[in-house]
Amino acid sequence: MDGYKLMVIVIGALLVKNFVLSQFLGICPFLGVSKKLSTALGMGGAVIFVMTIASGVTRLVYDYLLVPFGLGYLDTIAFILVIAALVQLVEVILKRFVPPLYKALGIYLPLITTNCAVLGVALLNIKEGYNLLESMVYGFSGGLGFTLGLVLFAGVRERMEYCDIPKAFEGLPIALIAAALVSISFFGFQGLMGI
Amino acid sequence: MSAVKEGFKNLTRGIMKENPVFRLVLGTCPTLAVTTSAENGIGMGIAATVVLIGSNAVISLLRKVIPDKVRIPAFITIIAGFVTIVQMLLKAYLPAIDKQLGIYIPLIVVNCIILARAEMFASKNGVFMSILDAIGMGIGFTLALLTLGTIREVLGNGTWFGMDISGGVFEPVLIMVLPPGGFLAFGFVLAAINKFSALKVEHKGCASCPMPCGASGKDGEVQM
Amino acid sequence: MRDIAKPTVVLFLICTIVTFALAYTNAITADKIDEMISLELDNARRKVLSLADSFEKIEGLEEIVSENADLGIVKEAYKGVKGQETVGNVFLVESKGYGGAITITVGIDNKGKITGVEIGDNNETPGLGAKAKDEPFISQFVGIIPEEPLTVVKSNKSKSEEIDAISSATITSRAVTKAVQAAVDINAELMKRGGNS
Repeated sequence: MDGYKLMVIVIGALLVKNFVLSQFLGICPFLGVSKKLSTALGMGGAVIFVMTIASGVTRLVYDYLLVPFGLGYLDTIAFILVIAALVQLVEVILKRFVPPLYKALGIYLPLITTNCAVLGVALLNIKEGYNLLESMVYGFSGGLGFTLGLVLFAGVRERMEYCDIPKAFEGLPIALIAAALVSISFFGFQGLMGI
Repeated sequence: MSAVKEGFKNLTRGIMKENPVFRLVLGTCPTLAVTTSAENGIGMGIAATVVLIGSNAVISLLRKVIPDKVRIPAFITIIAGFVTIVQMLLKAYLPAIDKQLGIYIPLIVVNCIILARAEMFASKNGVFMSILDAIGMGIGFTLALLTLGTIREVLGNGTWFGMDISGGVFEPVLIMVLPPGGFLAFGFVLAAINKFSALKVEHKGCASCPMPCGASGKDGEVQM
Repeated sequence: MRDIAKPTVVLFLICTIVTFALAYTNAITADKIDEMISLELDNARRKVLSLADSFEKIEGLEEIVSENADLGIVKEAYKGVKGQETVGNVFLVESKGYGGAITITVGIDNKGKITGVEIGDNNETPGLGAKAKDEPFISQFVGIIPEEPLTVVKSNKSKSEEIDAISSATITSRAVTKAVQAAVDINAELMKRGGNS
């Protein structure tokens, strides 16, 4: 039963209610770093990493610090500070102990604090009432969904480089329209979400 | 006289010339997420404007006190404080709006527009000018959301502020109020701006943010 | 040393002041927020069972739910009272829709007739699932005394127990129907127990 619920969470976050394409969380990096496949992968990796850890930590902070003292209303401010501190910490630790990983993800880490997908997942975990494990699974698969959207979209954009586009549409406008098409294709996954 | 002129310039800058959404392409998440109706667009715009005025005023007051090293955490704390206050007030007095906007209200914290104005304007200018700047940027943001909300609601639902205006002339295109419609409407509006104005949309995007929400690098390079 | 001390002190002060400001705002808005929420729930109860003047919470739901796990989505039950007389029951049900939980209030009178269904908090897609609260979907439930389980059909509704789905929003339609069905079942169970005692 538990496994079933976790699977629903994973498929939901990855395909049916994809973070970028249907919930509009993390649009800035989605438009910003999706011009090349390699940068998209790097950013995606960093986001998966931070979202998984942030989901777990914010859940613990909420359950064991905020709620016992009746401070539930401080959730937003506590979460953003936790995320900011966490990102710094992850950066330092990776630099010190896992240099190869730091090399791959390092430059993307400082950009993540204000990625709304990270704060978004922390707030959604509370709203949906997920427990610690479910929160972390949701964070992980949300990050994976973000990466999937980013990588697919980067592929589309690399191809678009060679297309003849009306002048007014060059750059961002055509990227947004392409994003709309990718988003429509994700609608096909809605059928997966039965009751 | 020149002070009046400068104040006017600060006030109007955000509305047209440096419109945060259409010119600088900041704060795209709420722009796309909540514009399923004109009413939601206005609600989000006003909520963000209130936060922006509060944070700009306080940060400007404290600009000589906050040490440079910790200014970003300090700004975020102040912004998050205002966001939470707005959220509580909405819950208490306008619960319908709070429910419509859902988690996008607390997510105002990571709206790049607010942090960008704190870093680029409020931390360098006086209180009065910072407030004018906040009002201008807030109006610009609200107008942009209203425009997108109107386009999507009229095309996708045949209504405007909940009033039926399709008049049986056209069948609403549902996709416009669904997520793809957000991307589509925003793309076409930006293209129209490119076409009909001398000024190009400069997607400085997150590069104009101190702590970019993701950074838009030139040519795929990530800027720090 | 000063380099570390000053930023720390300033940041600490800012955090403290912000926290106090929030605590203060919370103190003045908390009661109002609770009041709004209970007012809204009360309004929903009145709407779905307009016969009643006041409502009393029915205790002991857990006992019924523990025997029948499917009814676990029913969160609260109220007895609708007019004068001294009980005129029906109201149930607060939380059903899982497409965008997460949907809060649904269902009113049922003494004869088992559904008197009203009200959709509360939900995150359904605007233009699709969010239409559940509008005509003609929601009114399909009102006035029927279900003799068999409610089912969702996509077209060709042939009897009142068949509910026409909202087009392209089958999940939401099913979620609402399931909630109403749970209310009907738990109501029948309550009636049975009430009769015994």
